[in-house]
Amino acid sequence: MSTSTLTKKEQSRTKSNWIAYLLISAPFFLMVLLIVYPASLSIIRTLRPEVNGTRRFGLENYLAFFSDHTSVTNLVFTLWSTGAIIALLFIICLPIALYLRFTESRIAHFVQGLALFPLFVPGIILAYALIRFIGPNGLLETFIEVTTGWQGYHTPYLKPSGSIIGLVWEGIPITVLVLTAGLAQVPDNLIEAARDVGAGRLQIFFQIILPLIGRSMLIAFALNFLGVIGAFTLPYLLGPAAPQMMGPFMQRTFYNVLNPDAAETQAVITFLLSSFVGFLYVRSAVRQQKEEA
Amino acid sequence: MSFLRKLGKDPFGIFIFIALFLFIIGPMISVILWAFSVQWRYPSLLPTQWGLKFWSQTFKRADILQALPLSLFLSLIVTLISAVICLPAAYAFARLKFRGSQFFLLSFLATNAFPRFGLYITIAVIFLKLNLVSTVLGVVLIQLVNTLLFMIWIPTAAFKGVDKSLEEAALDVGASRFRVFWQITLPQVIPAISAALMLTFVGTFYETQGAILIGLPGVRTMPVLMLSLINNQLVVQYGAILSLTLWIPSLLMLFFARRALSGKSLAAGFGV
Amino acid sequence: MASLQFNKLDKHFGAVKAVKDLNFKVNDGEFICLLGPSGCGKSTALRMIAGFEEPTSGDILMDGQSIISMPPNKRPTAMVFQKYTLWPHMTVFKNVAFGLQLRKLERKLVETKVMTALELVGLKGYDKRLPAQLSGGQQQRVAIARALVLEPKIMLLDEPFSSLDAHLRVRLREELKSIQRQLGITTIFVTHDQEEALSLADRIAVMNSGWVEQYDSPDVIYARPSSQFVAGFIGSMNLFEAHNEKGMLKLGHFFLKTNDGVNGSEVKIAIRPEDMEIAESSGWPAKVKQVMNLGPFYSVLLEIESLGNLKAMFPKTSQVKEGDVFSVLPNRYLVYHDAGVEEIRL
Repeated sequence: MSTSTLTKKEQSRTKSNWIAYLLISAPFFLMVLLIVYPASLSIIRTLRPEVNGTRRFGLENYLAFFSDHTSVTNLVFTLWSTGAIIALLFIICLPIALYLRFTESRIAHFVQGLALFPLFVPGIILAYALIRFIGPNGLLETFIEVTTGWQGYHTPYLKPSGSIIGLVWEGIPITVLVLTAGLAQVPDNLIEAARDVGAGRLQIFFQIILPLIGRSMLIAFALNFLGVIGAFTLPYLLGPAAPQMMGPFMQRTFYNVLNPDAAETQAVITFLLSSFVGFLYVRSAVRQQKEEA
Repeated sequence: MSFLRKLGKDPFGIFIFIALFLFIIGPMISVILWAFSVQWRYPSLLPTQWGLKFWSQTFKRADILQALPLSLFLSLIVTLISAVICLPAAYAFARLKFRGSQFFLLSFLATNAFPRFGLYITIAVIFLKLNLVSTVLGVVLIQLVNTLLFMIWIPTAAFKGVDKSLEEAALDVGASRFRVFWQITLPQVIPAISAALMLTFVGTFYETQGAILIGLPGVRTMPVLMLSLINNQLVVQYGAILSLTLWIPSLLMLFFARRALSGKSLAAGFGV
Repeated sequence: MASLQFNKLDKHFGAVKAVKDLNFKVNDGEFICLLGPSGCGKSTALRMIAGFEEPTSGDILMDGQSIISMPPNKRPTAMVFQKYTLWPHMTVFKNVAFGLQLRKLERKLVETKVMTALELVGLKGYDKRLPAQLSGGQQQRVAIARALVLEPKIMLLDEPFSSLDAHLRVRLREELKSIQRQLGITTIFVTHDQEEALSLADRIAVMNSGWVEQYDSPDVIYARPSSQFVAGFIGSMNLFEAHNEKGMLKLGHFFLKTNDGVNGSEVKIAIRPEDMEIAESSGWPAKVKQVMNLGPFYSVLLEIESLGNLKAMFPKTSQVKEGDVFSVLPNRYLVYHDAGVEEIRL
C-alpha cells in the first residue's frame, strides 16, 4: 500500500499528531530553555574552568569550593538546617495529618484551616511578620514578659533557629496536604483488621500505616528537601549572616562579590546534593500518574 | 453547652488547635497590630498609641508608587503569557493522542526537581551575558519558570475530567470542533483554569527570589522593595502596612478560591 | 467456641437509629446470618460484636460475660471484611502471621499455624505472594485464614463474598460452610443476598430498618415469613389484598377459605409461586403470558382476571406454553392480618 492511500482515520491521526506537537512546543521549549539548558550548561561550564585564558576540563572550581572554609561551613550548615527542618515538619505534621484522618471531631475543620493557611501567606510577608513576632522586643517576648515576668527570652532572629522556624512555618501546609492525601488512601478496613487481630495503636501506626503511606512520606520529604535547599528569602531575612544557607550565600557571591563562576559552582553543588532527591520525587510522581491512568 | 461538652471530648484536637493557632496566627497578629499603631513602646503588650498616621505616609513614598504598578503589570503579563502558551498544551495533553505525550507531560516536573535558587543562579549567569539582567524581559522570563507546572498540570487534569462522550455527542449533531471546544469543553474547565490563573497571578506577584536576582537594580518589584524596607529598618510601620496591603491579593484568592481550589487540584500542581 | 447473647442492644448515630432493641441468642457452634437490605443495621450489629462500634445502650454477652467494655484488639472475635481486607505491603504469610506475631508466639509455632490455616483455605504454597498477585477469591480466602489462625471464639464476616462474581461466590460459600462445620466455630455472617443466607445459615436474623423482623431457621423463614417484609424479601412471593367477610377471604372475584386465627377485615394474602397448582375447572381461570425455562422447572407468568399478574412454578411435565388457558389454585398460602400471620393449606 502506498502512502497516498492512507485511510481517512489515519490521516486525521497524523494531523492531530502534528497539531499536538505544535501545541506543546512553546511551553516545552521554554522549559528546556529556562531549566534544562541553564542547568546543564552550568554543570558543563563549572567542569571547564578558565585557566590562563583558556577553558578546559578540570575540577578547579570544585576544589576551590571545598578548600574554602566559608563555603564548606555554609554547605554543612545548609544540610544540617535541612535535616532539622524536615525532622520538625514530620514531627509536627504527622500527628496533625493522623488527627485529621481519624477524628470525627468538629475541631478538625479549624485545625485543617490553620494548617493550610500558610499557603496564602507569601514568604516576604511571613519574614516580616516573624521578625515582629519572635524578633527582639517582639510580640512573643513582650507577651512572655507581661504574663510571666520572665526576662530571659533570647530571640532566634538572625540565628540558625530563625530561618528554621520560618521554613518550618512555610512547609507545614504542603506537608500536611501530602500526608493527608496519603492517609486518605488507607482504607478503614485495613486498620480495623489490624485492631481485630490484636494490634495496639503504636503497632498499627508503625506496621500498617507507615508502610502504606511510604510514597506520600517520600514526596513530602522530597518537596521539603528541594524547597529548603533552594530557599532564599526566609534564610536571607531571618537567618544568620554566617554561617549562611546556600540560597543567600549564592546570592551574595553572585551579586555582592560579583563572582558568577563561583556562584554557578555553588548552584551545581546544590543540584548534585539534591539530584537523588529530585530523582526520587520525579519517579514517585511518575508512578502516581501511571497508576491513576 | 453541647458544643462545649463536645470540645471537652477532644483534648488532643484542642491542643493541636491552640499550638497551631499561636504558631501560625501569632506572627500575623503582630503585623496587624503594628500596621494600626502610631507608637508602640516596649514592653507594652499592645501599641501605646493607635492610629492610621503612617498609612498616608506609606502610600506617598515614591518607591512604592513605582513598584506597585510595576508588580501588577509584571504579574499580569506573566500570567497572560503563561496562559497563552500552556493552556493549548494542556488541551493537547488531555485530548490529543501523540507519541511521547506521557514523557512530555512529566518533563515539566523538572521545574520542581531542582533547588529553585540554584536554578535561578544558573539562569542569571546566562542572562548576564545576554544583557537581560535588570530588564523587564529578564524578570518576565525567570518568573515564567514558576508558572509552567501549575498552568499545565491543573488544566490538563481539568480537560481530562470532561466527559469525552459529551464532546462526541456534540460533534455527532454536526458542531464544528471549534464550536464544541468553545461551547461544551471550555465552560466545564473554567473553574479549574481560573484557579490556575489565580495561583499564577498571585504566585508571580509575590515572587521574590528571581526578581531580586534578575531584576535589581533596574526592576524593583514590590516584594523586592519590601525586602529592602525590612533590611533597612526605617519605620516599622511601613513594613507592616505594606505587608497588609501586599497580602490583599492572597486574601482575595483565599476567599474566591475556596470552591475552585479543592485540595486535589492544589496537589496536582505539586505533582502529587 | 462460644455462645453470644444480645440484650436490648441499641445504636444511634446522632438522630439515626441504626440498630433498635436487638434481642437474640446465638448458640455455641451455630452459623448465623444477619440478612437484610443495605442500611438495615446488620453491619452495625456485627461491628458492635467486633468492638468497632460502641452500643448506645444494651449489652452483648459472650458465654454470659459482658464484652462491651473490651477494646476490639482484646476481643476473642475475628472479622473478615468485604474489600480491602489484606494489608497490601505484607505477603500472604505475613498477613496471616501478623496477629500471632503480635502475641509473641514462638517462630516455629507461628509457621506451623499459618501453614495449617493456609492449607485449610486451600492456599498451600501461596505464602510468599503479595495480595496484589492474588485473585479476589484468593484474597478473601487469605482473609478467612487470617481470622481463623487466631482461633477466635467467634468469627464475624461482613459480606465477604459480595464483590466476587456469582460462580466464585457459590464455591467459596460451600468451602466456608465446610470449614465452619469442621471447626465448629460460632459464626456470624452478614449478607444482603437471601440465597447466600438460606444456603449457609443454621438460623437467619432478617433485619429491617434496625429491627430483627424474624429470627428462625431458613426452612421456617422461607415457609412462614412472620411479616410482610420478610415475605417480600425472601424468595419470590405473590401478594394480594383481600377482604375477610363471612368466614371467607375475598380476593378479586375469588374466595379462599380462612380459619379462626385470622382477625380484622382487611388482610394480605401471600402465595409462593411453587405453591400454585394447575387445577380442575373449579380454580381461577388463568392465561399464560410468559414462560421462562429455569432448567428443572418453568417459571410462568399468569394473567388472572380481577387479580392481575401472578407468578407460578410448574414442573417440566406440565408442558405449558405461552397463550395456554387453564385453571389454577394455590395449595398453600399465608394470611397477614392485624394480629400476625396464619398458614392455610387447601
